[in-house]
Formats: sequence, structure tokens, C-alpha cells
Amino acid sequence: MNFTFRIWRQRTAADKGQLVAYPVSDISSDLSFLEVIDTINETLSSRGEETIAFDMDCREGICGACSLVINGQPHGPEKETTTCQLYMRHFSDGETITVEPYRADSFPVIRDLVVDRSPLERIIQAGGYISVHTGEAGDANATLIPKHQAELAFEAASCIGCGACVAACPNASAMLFVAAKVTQLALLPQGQPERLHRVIRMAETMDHEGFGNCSNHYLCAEACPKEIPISLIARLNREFLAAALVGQEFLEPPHHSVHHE
Amino acid sequence: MFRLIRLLNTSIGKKLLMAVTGTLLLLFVIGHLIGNLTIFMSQNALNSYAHWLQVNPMLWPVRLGLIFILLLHIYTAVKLTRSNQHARRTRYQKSGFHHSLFFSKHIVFSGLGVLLFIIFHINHLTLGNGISELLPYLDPKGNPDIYGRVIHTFSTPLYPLLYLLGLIVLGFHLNHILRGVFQSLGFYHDNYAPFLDFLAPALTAIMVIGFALIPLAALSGLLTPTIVLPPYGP
Ligand code: HEM
Ligand code: SF4
Ligand code: FES
Repeated sequence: MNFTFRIWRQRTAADKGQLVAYPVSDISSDLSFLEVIDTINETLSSRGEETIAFDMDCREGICGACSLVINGQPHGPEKETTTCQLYMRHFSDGETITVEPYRADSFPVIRDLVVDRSPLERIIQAGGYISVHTGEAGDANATLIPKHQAELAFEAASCIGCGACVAACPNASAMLFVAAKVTQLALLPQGQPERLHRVIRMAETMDHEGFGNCSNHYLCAEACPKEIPISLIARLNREFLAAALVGQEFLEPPHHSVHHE
Repeated sequence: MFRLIRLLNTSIGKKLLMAVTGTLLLLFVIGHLIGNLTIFMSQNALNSYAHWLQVNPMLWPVRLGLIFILLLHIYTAVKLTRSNQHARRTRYQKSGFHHSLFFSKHIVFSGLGVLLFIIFHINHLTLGNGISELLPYLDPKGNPDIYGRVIHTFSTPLYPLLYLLGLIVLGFHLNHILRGVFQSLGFYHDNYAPFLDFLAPALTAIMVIGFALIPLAALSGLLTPTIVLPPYGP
């Protein structure tokens, strides 16, 4: 198969950056999308040119490291598929494929296709965890969880934190991500002690990091490789509003006003 | 108080305010529709309803309340829209989602359209600018003949057209947004999802068609005029 890749090149965060065309020819339809970029990079490095920087790690759709906006869609045109799981057979021969970094003011470009997604980490650090005391491992089935509840929590927990939802949203809203991370713990007994703290801190950190809010376009759920359901955003709102209206925790100072390095 | 201020400083809190003020406005619009539809009962029904409103001591408190709610709605809409625009200032060179973002992208415009329509409508039928020659007419019971005014002003195509346009814009605004109201209020349940999906277009259709019936009935001659102006002024 033959393609023309138009790839965003930008040396530093301060650079303006531009799309550069790279023709590729005679590649197998079974090559993955990232393998094609690897091929382009081999050619570039054999010519002594700067290779294209992009994020990836597991290449099996589970770590959330890969990103890329391919022909305007985060993780490309296939539903429920991360960029690393995308194969060239999903494209038509001779196609021009445009590859851009995620765009969001909270995700500045570091170089080429790599953006800084640490705002998502900071949202997690603000409350997306449970505190446990270490010691003897507990009995496996000591805590009972209704099946339906466990399944919902598991569905939410399948979010890999890739940030495609932010990249797809015209408001660069991170609500789908935050909703998934709040829900997975809110539904489980282990998440109860910090439930109110968690949602208050995570939602306020989300605002603080400059993400937008939902205006009901729902492109996030369309882009999400893990099909996190849009209904979780309503659940996030419910958790947050309940915490704000009755939670004692809402009377304590906001998380981001407390500085700890 | 502290809770409220802190809540309204968050984007989720602002969306709650949008949903609450929007719903209050919608309740007013529904009430307004029910009142107006008395025009299909009789001249007396509409005119006595209008008279009851006019002499009601709650008229001005409710009016001021509505204006306040509308201003709050608009102010919050502008703030939210601006912070959303700030969150994403760089566009993609190639955009991938082709399907209809039209309604959602144009929610601000539909809102602005509704605002223009509200101003136009109050100026026209409430303040009576442009229809001053119709204002002196009374009905047989001695109430101002609102019935006659409405039918007369809708008897030529210009005003019905402008009103239909306004209604369509309101329809766009409501249709896109009603589904979002439940999300903003934090209400979601799998069992009710199909009902909510049905509610937004259904309620929008009732609103638009209900109001549209009035100018259409007047234009088509279905409602009989009670005011006949002398050809060269009174
Ligand atoms: C009769 C008048 C109006 C009614 C019944 C109404 C109703 C509503 C409702 C129910 C919402 C949903 C809020 C949510 O998503 O939870 C909404 C949102 C909105 N309204 Fe209105 N509205 C009216 C007038 C206006 C006007 C005059 C503007 C002028 C700018 C406006 C601008 C907006 C915007 C921009 C949103 C979306 C905010 C967002 O999603 O971020 N509305 N409206
Ligand atoms: S919600 Fe979906 S798109 Fe967003 S970070 Fe999680 S897996 Fe990625
Ligand atoms: S590289 Fe791990 S999910 Fe794509």
C-alpha cells in the first residue's frame, strides 16, 4: 500500500510547527499505524534527519500512552481502538493521512506529536486513589459487592487515561476522564471513606488545570477507545453536587490552594 | 453562603445554574403557551386572562424575577462559553467529525437569537410599539381587546413570519439543551434514558407547534377578527 503522511513537526514548545508530508510506499496492510511512523523514522535517521517524536509504550491498547489525532480523530477512525492497535488495512490505498498532536490549552506540545498530559496526573493525585493500610493481605471475598455494581465500576475502571476525550472535545473538557475515575471508586466499598473529598478535589483540579466544561457535543465518548459511557458525566455531576451541597468536606479549603511540592 | 459561592466558582456549579435558570425560563414559556392558547376558546377567555394578569399584584414581582433569571442565564452562558473557548484555542488542521455539530456549536447563536426575539416580542405585543392604533379597542366586557390586537397584527404575512422564525430559533435552543439539563442536574438512570431522549424533541415540538398555531390560525382566517380599522385612520 502507498500513503502520504502529513505529520505535525515542531522542534520545541515555543516553535510554531507545521505539517510536513512524508510519502510511504510498498508497505504491508498488516503494518500497524505506529510501525509506519517507525519506518518513516528509520528513513529519517538513515538520512541523518531528526526523527518524529511520538508517545507509545505497550502497543497493545492497555497503557494509554499512545495518542495522535489522525485525520481529525483522536486514535484514528476505528471505533474502540487505540492508535497502537490501528492497522493500515483500515485506510484506503493512496490516501493522504494527516497526523496531528492532541490539541488542548492544558496539553501543550512538547515536541512533534508529544504533548504534556501531566494535568491528568495532577487530577488523579488530587483524589483519584484510595488510602489503604498495608499489612496482611485481606481475605479475597470478605467484602461483598453486588454484581451490577461491580460491573459498572469495572466498566469505568477500563479508562486508560489516554486523554482522547479531551482531544476530541471542542471545549477540551476532561469530564469523561474525571467521571470515569470518580465513578470507579464511588461505586466500590473501598472508595467510600474518601468519596466526597475525592470528587470535590478532582473536579476543582479539573477546572484549575484549565479544562473546559461539557456543552453536550459528546465527541469524547465517540473518541474514547474504551467506550466509557457518556452517562458517567451525569454521575460525576451528581457526586459533585451532592458533595458541594451537604459534604462537610466542601467547607475545608480547596485542594489547589494548599501547596505541597 | 460559602458553599454557594464556592459551588458557583466551579464549572459544574455554573452548569447547574444554567440548568436551573433555563428550566425556570422554560416553565414560564410553558405557562405563557397555556395562557395564550385560550385564544382558541373565545375572545372573552383570552381577554379576561390578560386582564387578570394586568391587575395581578404579582405581575411586577414576577416580571422582575424573570428578567433577573434571564440576565443570570445569559451572564453564566457568556462566562462558560468564554472559559470553554480558552480551554482549546488551537484548532485541528483537519477536522474529523463531519456529522452535525451544527446545533451544539450554534447554541450560543440560538441563545442570542432567542434574546433578540424576546426583545422584539416584548416591544411588539407587550409595549404595543407599531400597533398603537389597535390599543384603544375594548371588548364587549370592557377589557382591552388583546384578542383583536393579536388577530389583526397576524393578519398580514410579515409578523407571522417573524414569529415563526423566532420560534424555530427557540426550538433549536431547547432541542439541543433539554437532554443536557438532566445531565447538569446529575440525573441519569438507564431505565429513564429512552424517556429523556424522547422528552427533548417532544417538548420542543409542543412548544414550537403550540405557539405557531396562533399566528397561523390568524393568518389563515381561522380566527375571526374583532377589530376592523377604518381605512384612513380612526
Ligand atoms: C426563553 C428563553 C430561554 C430558555 C427557556 C432557555 C433554556 C435553557 C436551558 C434549559 C438550558 C440548559 C442548561 C444546561 O445545559 O443544563 C440553556 C442553556 C444555554 N442557554 Fe438558554 N434559554 C433561554 C434563553 C437564552 C438566551 C437569551 C441566551 C443568550 C445568550 C441563552 C444562552 C444559553 C447557552 C449559551 C446555553 C448553553 C450553556 C452551555 O451548555 O455551556 N439562553 N438554556
Ligand atoms: S475516558 Fe476514554 S478517552 Fe478519556 S482518558 Fe479514559 S480511556 Fe481515554
Ligand atoms: S501504546 Fe499503550 S495503549 Fe497504545
